[in-house]
Amino acid sequence: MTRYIIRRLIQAIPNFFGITILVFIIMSLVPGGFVELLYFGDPDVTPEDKERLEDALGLNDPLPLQYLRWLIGDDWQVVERRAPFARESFPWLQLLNDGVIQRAYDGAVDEIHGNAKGILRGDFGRSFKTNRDALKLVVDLLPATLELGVASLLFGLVTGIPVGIIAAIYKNGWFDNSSRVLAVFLNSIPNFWLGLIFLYVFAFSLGLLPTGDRYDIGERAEAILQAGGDSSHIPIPPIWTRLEYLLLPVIVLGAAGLAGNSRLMRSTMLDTIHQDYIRTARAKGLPLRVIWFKHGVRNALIPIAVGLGPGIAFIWGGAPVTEAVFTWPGIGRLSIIALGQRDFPIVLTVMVLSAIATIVGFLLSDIFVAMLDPRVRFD
Amino acid sequence: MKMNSNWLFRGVLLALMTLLALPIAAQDDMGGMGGVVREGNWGGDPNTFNGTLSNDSVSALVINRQDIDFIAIDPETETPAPGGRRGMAASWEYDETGTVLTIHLRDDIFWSDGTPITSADYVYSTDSIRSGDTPSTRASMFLESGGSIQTIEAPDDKTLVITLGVDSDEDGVLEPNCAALISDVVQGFTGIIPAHAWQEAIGEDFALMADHEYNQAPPVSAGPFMFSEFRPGEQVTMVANQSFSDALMGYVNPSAWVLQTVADHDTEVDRFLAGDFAIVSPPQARNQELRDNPDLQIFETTATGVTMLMFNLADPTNPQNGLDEDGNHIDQGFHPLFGDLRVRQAIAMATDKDAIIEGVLQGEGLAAHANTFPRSWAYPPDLEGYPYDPDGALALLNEAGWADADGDGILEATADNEFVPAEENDGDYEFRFRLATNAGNPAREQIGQITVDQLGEIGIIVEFEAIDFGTLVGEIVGQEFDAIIVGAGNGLEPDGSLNAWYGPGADVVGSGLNAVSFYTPRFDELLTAGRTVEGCDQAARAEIYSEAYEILAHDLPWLTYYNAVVVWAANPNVEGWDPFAFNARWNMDAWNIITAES
Repeated sequence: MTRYIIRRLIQAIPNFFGITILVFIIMSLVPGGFVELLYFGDPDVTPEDKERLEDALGLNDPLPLQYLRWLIGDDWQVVERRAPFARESFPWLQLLNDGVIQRAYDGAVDEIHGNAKGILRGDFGRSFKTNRDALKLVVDLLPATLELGVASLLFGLVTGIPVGIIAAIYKNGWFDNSSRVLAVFLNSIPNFWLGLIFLYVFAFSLGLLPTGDRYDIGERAEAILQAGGDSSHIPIPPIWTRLEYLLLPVIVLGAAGLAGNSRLMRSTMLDTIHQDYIRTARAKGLPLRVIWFKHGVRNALIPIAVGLGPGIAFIWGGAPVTEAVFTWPGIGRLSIIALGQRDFPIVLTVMVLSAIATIVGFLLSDIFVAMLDPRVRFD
Repeated sequence: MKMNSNWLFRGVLLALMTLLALPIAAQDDMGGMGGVVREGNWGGDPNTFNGTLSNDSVSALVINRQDIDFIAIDPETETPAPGGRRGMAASWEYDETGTVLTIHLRDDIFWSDGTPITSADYVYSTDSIRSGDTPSTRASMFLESGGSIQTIEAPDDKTLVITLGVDSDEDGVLEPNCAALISDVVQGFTGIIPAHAWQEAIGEDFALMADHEYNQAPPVSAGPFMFSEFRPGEQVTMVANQSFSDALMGYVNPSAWVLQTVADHDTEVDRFLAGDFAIVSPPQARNQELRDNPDLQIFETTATGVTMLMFNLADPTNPQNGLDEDGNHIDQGFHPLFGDLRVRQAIAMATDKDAIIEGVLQGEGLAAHANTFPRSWAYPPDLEGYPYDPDGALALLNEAGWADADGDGILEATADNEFVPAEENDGDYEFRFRLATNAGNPAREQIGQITVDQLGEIGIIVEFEAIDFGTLVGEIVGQEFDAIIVGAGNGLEPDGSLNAWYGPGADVVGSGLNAVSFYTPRFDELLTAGRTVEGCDQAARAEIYSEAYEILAHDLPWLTYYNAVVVWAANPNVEGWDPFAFNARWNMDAWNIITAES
């Protein structure tokens, strides 16, 4: 198995680089520039200011150069954007370089080394807009995304699998027919619509559930006040104390999982119960409960397990629409906002991490299936 | 008798001391008891909490809670107020040349750690901007970057001497610049930063400022609230700063201010109505819904900005800058449709602004005829636009060389059309153009659809498209567009926005705001004249700007539609809310949020 995993990981390397190239090209094709967008309509910002900022951010460099700097950094080389370099004429470079500039004074010429380490060394750059570390910003929001994603995945499994099993057991009965209609309905309606309807009914009209957020922000403000204004030691409340905030977004995000898993489970269950070994079990006089749940369900679960790999990627990538509707502070929402603002370091960070999660997710899925199904061999 | 007098004296003294002590005790007890003021925010996270680096409205909102201004603006009169609350300046005067401004600072203002606010804070703030070592884009306040401030000196802790002006005749001698006080001194940047804290952190090495943690967690504050917490994508929390010198009640009444992220504008309104937020300003389509709610406190004003249609006046196939390197005007050719003034006038006459205001805003707007707003001191009293007259529009188009020769309902260029290139004018050149706006803005999208209908009535084909805002901005500054619907804001001083949107120096392909390539020598003369009026008499300046606005209304580089009616609403549990058009939050330190517990 170790050899199999190593082989798959090696195969993933060209995949990874292919994805990074593709992602970078797609980003470069997006029309409209960050600087123009940020300062549009601001009468105090001159065209020269904008040009200066674009130069400083490296946005005017050739695309291959931008890609290489993003990938492998530029701290190992002398940056020669303008020569002879004078600090006064090009101060922005210092910002890029995080204030750590190696200068070799030789007459009037400064030799400036870049300070970007590149994503291969874990440096995903800084947000164009807020100048925050892109990776840290994404990682800080990851708990919220994982919380919502895992809960939705579990919701889809925990509801979808039993519904599929019961539908298969009572094939063509009222439950089967109802679940089929429900699945079509849940698969057809867009997330944002369902989310808005749920918000309107359960939050704004009935007032039963919160109108958004991940926790009670007002309560947190009170807690901060009680701590004398110091928020550093006030944790986010544990998840079981704020399930009401999770309920609607999980149902909305998990609805497609419920629908998909229930149909998949039903069809695989129906396939399974017509297998020879099930007939043999029946002939042996095993109780139906044992036949269905011990022999049937276990084997019918294999296709569900196959879907867990993409599920992990789905969790990591966040759920932009659901997060936006419910003001859920996750990386899906962050990436949508960043894309709108052309804040490419943030978008690229999310996309690269999602790509890695996808590769790893599929690998885990394969391993999981091989463990479940003795017919699958690692070689 | 003597003993009685002694006791009487002691009793009176004790009573007096008690009376004196009561307010102090009350202050200690009352401060921060007014609840948490919560607001919604759909504009994204603040970029920074540093007033010298701020360049977005959300950052400005949070900075205005934590900082004070250099020169206060009276929220009622919207003019600079010597000694005004929330301002550093107690008074100021010009010398006889009108180019040296001496500002005397108040001596009763302090940072939240007790350090006095002095001239050093202003000097440090402006030095950081001027150094060019920070990401600030506010250097345009300085003379060398197109602004007016030449030098800033601090003879003592409470005095600043600023040399400022304009060298319009380029003789090296500054002349008074009437726009300078507002544009560069008052509104040069968002907020003063604490010199003592920053000095300790980075000294004078301003290159270290951009990445410093103080930009995300400022250490001290001068305004009514102090930074407490910022969680990206969630909220900003600030707690009351009881050292705030200008608290209306003698103390800051709310315990905290929380700016909470929401998905979009409608969600903000819905959550306000659900009681989550103290105040809100809804989209115009929901103004009436809030007015109809008898429980709410309502305030109305008119937007300073306009919604408009930009015509590209220059040849879109060959975008060029407005000026060459020597500052001479460049011939930029003509747009085949909109290069002709008669065509722009005809489109204005075929546009029913009242119908747009009614259809898009449910009547919540005032027809606008130039890029200004009714309560501006520079607003021309007799400003008029073109009347809605589709027949007149058609006649004007016929005169301009457009007629429906083949009877298909679409105008074609006639042989005598002077703007359509001769090689393309084969008798089948239709009046057809692309109109774009940003998707996700319902009002602008509806205006686009109405424009398709209204211009279609006179035989003009409008290919309307709503696209991503970033893409739209790229098209605008690229100057290859035909026409675009967008919005523009206006400040207290007209000089800045007029220069930025219509000045020849701002006609720069790829980045300038004068993307329509408007150039009229008389208009440029007026912009210069408006800055250099003798004695900076406001009435005389208003007359000059009136003529400038009338040129805009006549020449139509933009077809301005309306200034929207802006409604502010506060929930019934907000006590002390007293908004002005200029600032709906000016007295937040005196608000009282009533909760079920209170």
